[in-house]
Amino acid sequence: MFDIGVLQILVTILGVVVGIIFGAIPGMTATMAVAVFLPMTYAYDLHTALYLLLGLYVGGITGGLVPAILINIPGTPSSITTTFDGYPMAKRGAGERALKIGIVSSFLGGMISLVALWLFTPLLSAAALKFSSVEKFLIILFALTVIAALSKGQMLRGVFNGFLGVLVSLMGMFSVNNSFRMVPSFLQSKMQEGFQLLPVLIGLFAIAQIFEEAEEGMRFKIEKVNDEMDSKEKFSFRDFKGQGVNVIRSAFVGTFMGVLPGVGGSAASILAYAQAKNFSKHPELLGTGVPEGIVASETSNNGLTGGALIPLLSLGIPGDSTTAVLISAFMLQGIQVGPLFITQNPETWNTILVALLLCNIVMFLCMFYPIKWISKIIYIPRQRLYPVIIMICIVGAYATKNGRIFDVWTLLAFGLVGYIFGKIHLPASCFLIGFILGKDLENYFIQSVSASKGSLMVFFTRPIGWVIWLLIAASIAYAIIDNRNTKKREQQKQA
Amino acid sequence: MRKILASMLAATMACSALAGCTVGGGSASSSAAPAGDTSSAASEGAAPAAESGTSSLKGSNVRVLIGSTSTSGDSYMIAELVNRYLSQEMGFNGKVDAVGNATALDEIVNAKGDGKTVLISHDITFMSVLFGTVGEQYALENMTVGPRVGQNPGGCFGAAAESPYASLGEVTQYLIDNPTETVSFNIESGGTSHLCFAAYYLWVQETQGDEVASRIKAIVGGTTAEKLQRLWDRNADVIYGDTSAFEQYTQEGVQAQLKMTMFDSCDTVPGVEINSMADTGITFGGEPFVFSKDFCMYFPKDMDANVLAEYEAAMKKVCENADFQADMAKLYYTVLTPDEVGVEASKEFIYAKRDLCKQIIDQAPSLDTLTA
Amino acid sequence: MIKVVYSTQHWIMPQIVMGVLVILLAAVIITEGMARVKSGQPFLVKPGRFFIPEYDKLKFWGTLILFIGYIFTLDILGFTVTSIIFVFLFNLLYTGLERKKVIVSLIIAVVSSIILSVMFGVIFNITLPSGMCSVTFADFGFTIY
Repeated sequence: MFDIGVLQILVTILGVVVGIIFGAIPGMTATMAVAVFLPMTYAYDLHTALYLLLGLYVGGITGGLVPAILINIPGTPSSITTTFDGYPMAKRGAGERALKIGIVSSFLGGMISLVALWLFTPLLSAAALKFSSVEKFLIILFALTVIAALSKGQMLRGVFNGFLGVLVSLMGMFSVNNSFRMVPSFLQSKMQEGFQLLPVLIGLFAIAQIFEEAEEGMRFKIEKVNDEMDSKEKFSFRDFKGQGVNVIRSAFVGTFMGVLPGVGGSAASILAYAQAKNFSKHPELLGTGVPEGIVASETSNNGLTGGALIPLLSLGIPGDSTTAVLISAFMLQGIQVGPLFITQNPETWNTILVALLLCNIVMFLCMFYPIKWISKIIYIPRQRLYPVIIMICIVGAYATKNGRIFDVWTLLAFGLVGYIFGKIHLPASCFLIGFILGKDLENYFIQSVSASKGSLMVFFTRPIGWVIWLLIAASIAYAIIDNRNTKKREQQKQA
Repeated sequence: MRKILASMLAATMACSALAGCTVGGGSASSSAAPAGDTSSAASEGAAPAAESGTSSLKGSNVRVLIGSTSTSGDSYMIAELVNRYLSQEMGFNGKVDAVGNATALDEIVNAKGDGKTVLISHDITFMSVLFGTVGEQYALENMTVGPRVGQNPGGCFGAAAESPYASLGEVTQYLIDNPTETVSFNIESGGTSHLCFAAYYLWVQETQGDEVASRIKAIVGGTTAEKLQRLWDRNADVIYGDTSAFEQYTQEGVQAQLKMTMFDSCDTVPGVEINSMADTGITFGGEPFVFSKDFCMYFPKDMDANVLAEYEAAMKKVCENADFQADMAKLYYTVLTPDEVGVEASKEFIYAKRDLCKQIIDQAPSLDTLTA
Repeated sequence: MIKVVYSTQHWIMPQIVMGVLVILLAAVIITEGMARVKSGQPFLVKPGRFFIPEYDKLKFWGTLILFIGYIFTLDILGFTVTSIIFVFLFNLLYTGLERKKVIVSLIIAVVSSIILSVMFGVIFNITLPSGMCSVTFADFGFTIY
């Protein structure tokens, strides 16, 4: 039926732990972890290799929440939204609670997506086939509307900065006709693919933050919290009371974003977070450090794991960048994944399900219990922590494209950009979301319009498209109302 | 260093083998068998490295750049295979870095010629200069052509199973029979697919005239996964890709939307039943058109001659290694003979191939025309 | 209708986005200006000062200069030595020159750089910047970048 043994369990533990390390290091991702270990799996049989690689995948996606919550630096792009509520919690001394909420959410997300993979693969892959470039363009557009919801009372500035992010992401060579735009000629040899996401991300978050605190003289300190004093900030599973809908909705959003090939994994947590805010009973609290936000973000990014395997195993095309690397693990063993893979390799299929289950359990055990000690990182004085973080960020940036100094310069440049954004009140997170989604937005737009011979009507003629348009309209309307309310509240506060 | 990690993994295996014995569970003992296999393989791997791995690069880290950012394409697969065997043969720690074509060219032109940086790439190396994707400073003249390492003959065309054609010849016939129809080909610009498509287009233009040729349309862009999706959406009629990637969609039992036929490989693919472009009768310059992706090592211009000779000797040995041949065959790649691998022969071959490509590119109409 | 011409299609999206940005910028200026007029201020105000009052000049500009120096030196000296030097300097910049603090700074710099270098450069085999001070232990087959 399936393969499991002591060896498999050991490599799973190894994979999950190493994955968590890669995920937690800003600039290193699950994708990189899987790519690093790929050549070594050659020595194994396919099944053992899958235990190792899936462990790295699950660990890598989850590990990102640790620095996101503790030091406001997302370890991976998909944990950006975790910082929104995680860091405020950590700042007020509830870091451990936030981490545990994140870990439990990740586990739930992973398990729900596993069930989806196990039971609904044919259904979901059939649905994915109905999404052509038109629907994908609209989904990306929908994800972009999140910017409006995130900008807390200064919507126009947020949207402006979001589109600025889109514009910056388009710098470089357009892959279809191999032509450069918006790149000075002396940088063309370095910027064929534009700025890399990871250095931009850690620059905007980590380096900008270091500049801000350097300006203030590094005086920032987190007060040690007395355990007894703050028992209401202790984690308990009651934190999940009333979160059932949120968990399931976010896991579903994550899984489905995973199922859609070519829609990046970071879109999952962005969308899930926005939906949590839209449906919340107290949307104004999201972003101030409430469990709801962490639950949405972390459930969805782990929901991605099972989802991204669905098109890989049922159609032969990867659901995200990590599963794209996983394909090679199969190819190294001389196996092609495709539409008949599951029927022709039932044992491997069962093994994948068991491995994913094991990975999620191991991930939970490896993180939930030791996290108490890891959460103490927050008490290390910033003056001592930041130099090491700078070094780690440099390693991460350098490794983004397997070793380019240019990416380290990108890191510094966007550190300064992020710092300046803070000064002129442009929300950096909006810029980043625009930057993440920009290339896909262009790609699917051009694909759709080329296929329709230039007619824009193509975006309005498909039933799934109408549904997404409705969601977009609702999302924007909601954002406008929310923005007004926030402004009013602020004025009342001032008055 | 890979060995430390490998030994770490081997240690986990050893532990599990021990545990397997003591626990004696059915599944544990079944997994103990491969564990034993691989840990012995790891120690074997170290042994020949001590014997024949005596190059001047022994113990050094070697960066193997590839002209692709993907770790699942043929570029990565071949480079990884060659790297694994060369590392053993020359005793270095090679690591494949998937940096992409532009970065790879930039790095190799500016690297030191000590052999610690090597580019293993296919014809994209010189085609990207010919197509103007990268600047003239990356021309072959500014680097050293090293030994060739292997071929991927598997580039081919594919169409939805229900389409009225199952070969390029039938596509031409379809266009002749239906004077109002067009057939769209999804290719990538500046790559092998662009070239093979151009060869077909020129052949149709030559044999059937401009009118028929003008109804062959190009759709540009995309990875293999994106091209497949275009085909499934029926936004492209014919797509270009690798036989190994397409084969699974041609089998019985695949649902109708995904089902494909594949035809007209650019070269003969051993072990795959498919007619080649040459079989269809496609010619270029009077010769049957045959085009494999030729993978070759490239070094910086001021390459150390001794190290280059070491690479040459090692690659010749690797080509005769039965394990290497088996691994290549598993992925449908062609192994070269030691004579073909020699640096002089290799240089001659690559320069000649560049000339052929230049002729095709010069004659082919621009993509503005082909996509309009 | 948008006509997609192969050789110029790379400008379609940037032009759309630039157009949107111009409109948004105008909207930002007008709405914020109007809001100011409503509350009795002039339509345009002079931007406030960039740095906070009495900002820590040494730490801010020191961070920037050390960062630039760090990146420049990476390729020359190799990762490990460069990191030891600059993590040490960053520590001095942030904590001061007291004897005890200098020693702690040195320990942090050496230990963290070596751990990172060994973990990523040696064990995980990730390419790190190499330079003059990178050492290859040929007999053991590994390199400290």
